[in-house]
Amino acid sequence: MSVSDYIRIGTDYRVGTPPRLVSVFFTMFDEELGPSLLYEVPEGSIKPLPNSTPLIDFSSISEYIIPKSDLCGHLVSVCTGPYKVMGVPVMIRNKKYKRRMLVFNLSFVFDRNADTSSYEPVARKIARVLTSLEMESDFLWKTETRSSVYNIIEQLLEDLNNYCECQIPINETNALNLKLFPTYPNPQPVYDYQVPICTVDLNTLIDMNWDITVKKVVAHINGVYHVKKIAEIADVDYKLARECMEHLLYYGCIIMIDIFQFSNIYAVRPEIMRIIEDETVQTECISYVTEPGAIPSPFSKMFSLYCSLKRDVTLKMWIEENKVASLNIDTRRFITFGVTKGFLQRVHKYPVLPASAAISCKLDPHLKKLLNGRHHYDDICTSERYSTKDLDKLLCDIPEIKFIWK
Amino acid sequence: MHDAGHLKMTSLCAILLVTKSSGGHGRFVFNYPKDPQRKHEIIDYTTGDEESDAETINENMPGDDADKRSIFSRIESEADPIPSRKRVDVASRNDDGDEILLGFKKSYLADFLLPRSNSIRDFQLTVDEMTFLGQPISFTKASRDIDLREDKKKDDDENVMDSQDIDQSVGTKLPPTTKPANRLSHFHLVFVLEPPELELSQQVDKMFKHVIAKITAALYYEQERCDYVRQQSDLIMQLNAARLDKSPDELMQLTLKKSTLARTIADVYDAISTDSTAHVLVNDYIDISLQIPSFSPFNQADNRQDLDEYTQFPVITPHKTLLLLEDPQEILKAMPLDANPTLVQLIQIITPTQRLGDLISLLDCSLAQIYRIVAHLIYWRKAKLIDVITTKNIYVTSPSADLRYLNALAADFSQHCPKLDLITLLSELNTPAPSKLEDIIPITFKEQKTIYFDAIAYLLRKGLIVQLHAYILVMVPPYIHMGKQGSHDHSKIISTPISSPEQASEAERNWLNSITAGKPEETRSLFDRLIQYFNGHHYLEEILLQENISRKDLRLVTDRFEALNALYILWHYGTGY
Repeated sequence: MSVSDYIRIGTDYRVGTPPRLVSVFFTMFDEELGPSLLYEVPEGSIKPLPNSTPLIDFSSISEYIIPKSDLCGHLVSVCTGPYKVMGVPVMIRNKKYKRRMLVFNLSFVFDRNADTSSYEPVARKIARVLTSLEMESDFLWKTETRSSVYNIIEQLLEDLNNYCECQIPINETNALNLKLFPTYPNPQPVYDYQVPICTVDLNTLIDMNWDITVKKVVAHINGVYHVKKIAEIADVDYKLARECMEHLLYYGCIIMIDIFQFSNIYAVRPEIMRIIEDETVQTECISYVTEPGAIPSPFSKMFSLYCSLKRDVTLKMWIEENKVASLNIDTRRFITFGVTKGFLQRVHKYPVLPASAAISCKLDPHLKKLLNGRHHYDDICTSERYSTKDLDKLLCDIPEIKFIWK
Repeated sequence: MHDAGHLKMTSLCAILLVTKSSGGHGRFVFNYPKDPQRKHEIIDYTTGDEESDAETINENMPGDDADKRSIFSRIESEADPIPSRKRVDVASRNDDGDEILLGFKKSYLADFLLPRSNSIRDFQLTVDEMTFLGQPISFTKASRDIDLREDKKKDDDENVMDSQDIDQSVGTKLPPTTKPANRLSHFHLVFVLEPPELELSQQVDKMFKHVIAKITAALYYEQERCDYVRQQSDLIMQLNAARLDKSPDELMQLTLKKSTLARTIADVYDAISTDSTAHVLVNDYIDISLQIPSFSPFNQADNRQDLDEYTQFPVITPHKTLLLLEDPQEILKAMPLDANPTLVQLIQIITPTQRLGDLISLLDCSLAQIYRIVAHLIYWRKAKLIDVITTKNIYVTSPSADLRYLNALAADFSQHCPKLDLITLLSELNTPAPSKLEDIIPITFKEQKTIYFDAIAYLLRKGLIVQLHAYILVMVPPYIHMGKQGSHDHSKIISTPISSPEQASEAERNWLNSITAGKPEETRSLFDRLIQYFNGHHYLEEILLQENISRKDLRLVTDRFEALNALYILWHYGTGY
């Protein structure tokens, strides 16, 4: 499959790539001075230098960096000027400390509008590691060991900005391992009647550490079977199968399409304009939909075929009218390409039984309940195990039942 | 599968008001709604035992640490039978300090939502999943960074000297000790958001620009003019103090009844959290309208660089019309008394079967003026731009139509259009194929087609249907470009839409000239005029009306392209529906 790069064109797709780290600094509550800056990189970003102004006016936000107990332990970000400062303030209570508590915070500075979600787990982990170091060995309390925090933040800034990961040895037994992961928007819910299609070769990604259920499910993703069928073949709980799909969806490994049937109806979406202006998609389309080894048709032919998919023709009629069989085109892939790119939409058939006619209608009461405008044919056929034809036979003779196409 | 639907523009979960009197502590005044609905509950557990030797990590780590944390808190609660402990923060002495809101004590919220520094203009604080936004207002000239005692002294001094103080000018010899506590030194109207991943900064910008800056400025003005925020805060606090026998619901109702500020906050919350518009009259004096504007349900998906801000905006033309989204009487009621009389008149007379161009004579005003009014109504979500409803139009179910409550919708529909049935109509519009309205209207109804027009207007208003258009596109055959691009193997198979006459390449121009060669001058000029519309962005009726030509004229041109296999008709509902 080669659709991966362009697959998201028609969808709302954003990735939270790690933002640039502007500065890192470490603060503690000093018994006499209050919130105090101990270490910073680069120098002068927080503490004023003789001939430069700092990025951040520390005193104006110190109440959020070294806060009262209620905010401690939470991930706190505060904006000041054009910057955002993020960290997890930690308070450790113990009578060995002069005020019976130790408060510290290792903070990150970003541009104000940076998307910092990829740093959130990192900030939490650092707070956790420093806390356990302190509890095990008074790491921060003793000035000798505390000074190594400077080395930590120096390497943090350097490595996270350059490599998105770092491994910092702290002492003989401890090291800080961090990695930034991009954040993606949460996936849309997955339904039993949807068909997953791979955007990457999952077999090359799988390793033995993968979840067993995911591995079982992945083996049956072929762009043809719907989620329920995959669950059955893989002998996996339906709910778990859907969750696996959502997981794969989150990482962009699959996208969901509708069930391919010759009775389906498709229509172009306004997004069709994007492909006529994008030559890359056009060449991609040709290589994706042409049958292996065959001579490709020009894009203009493909395009006129897409335009002839209208709300009044089923796929079967369309194939006959346009003699698609003679064009070296894989019909399934032709439709899949349009749907995944977002310029083609399936027009679903929703059977509706008006509330007024519900009592007199002699259908199976369970099926009747599904005719409320919330379920289309694919949905009902998948959950009730009908074929499209069977369902048509059942419903079409009942005059009260109306069909809404959407 | 791409039913994007109407994504909410904001994820506002509460509005809070905190204030501070000079020399006093921050106080939490009001929150709306009463119990903000949160997506992520912050797990609140008390801090470590001071007396016990066991150290406590006061950390809130999600995921793998959840179990660990619960063990810690269990150890804690076993070791420490007294749940409440001494706190360092003085604010907890406040009488309203016990209630927990959004995972924090109200007194603590008041404390950290009033930043000590006066230099913060746009306040933005994120605690885990929750973001607090606002513009804290400070009325003291003295810096807040200095010691509190000094501050108090300064305030006292100011009071003695400050002749502009309203109260002071009335009651001349009030004991100075009561004064500082009464004067409002800070207030902060805080908006609490809980946006989904990756949407924070976008939502923050919109909230500041469209909502926070406006409402805060109005409150600031009213506070300066007549001490409004302080008086209202005092009123709300008094109601709170006397709540004894009242349930939280009753207290909220009473507060909303008695306090105009509480009501304003509630109105703003109700509108912004449901993605609609708020029209509030702050202190019965400042009229403001608030909303987070949106023009297209799809605009959140468009992060393409080539689209500028106005791409999503509907294009107003004289042959379009306006569909009011609410009852005209309701719209008029919500408007200020000094509203533009032409605007009022337009709302009274507009119908979806009448072109905007026809209003010029009826309203006796210029088209430009009508455009401005139309744009205004669309911006404030009172109306949307549609094509004039005619029997030739084709409508299909909107891809974002919400059919979940179809029976309830059908009941509502029958109130508006008693002679028709919603489900039948929706079904007829598309079965067996999308049909022109005239083909749906039964012969017996032909005389009363307005019944159908009303029904269509209803369906458009509810977003249940969209109009289907035939967009016209001419693509330049690949061989035309061959000469220009050399034998690039792509050029054999890819196609490009026709360029506007100014941008056309020489090869393209030659191709067009060859099509019209030998034709009469009239036909050639028609070609030249129409070619600009054939880039796929214009639909048939639009071209006819814009150029004032007949279908036959248009066919004359399109037929030529069709014969060359260069014509494509794209049936869809456009991007701006």
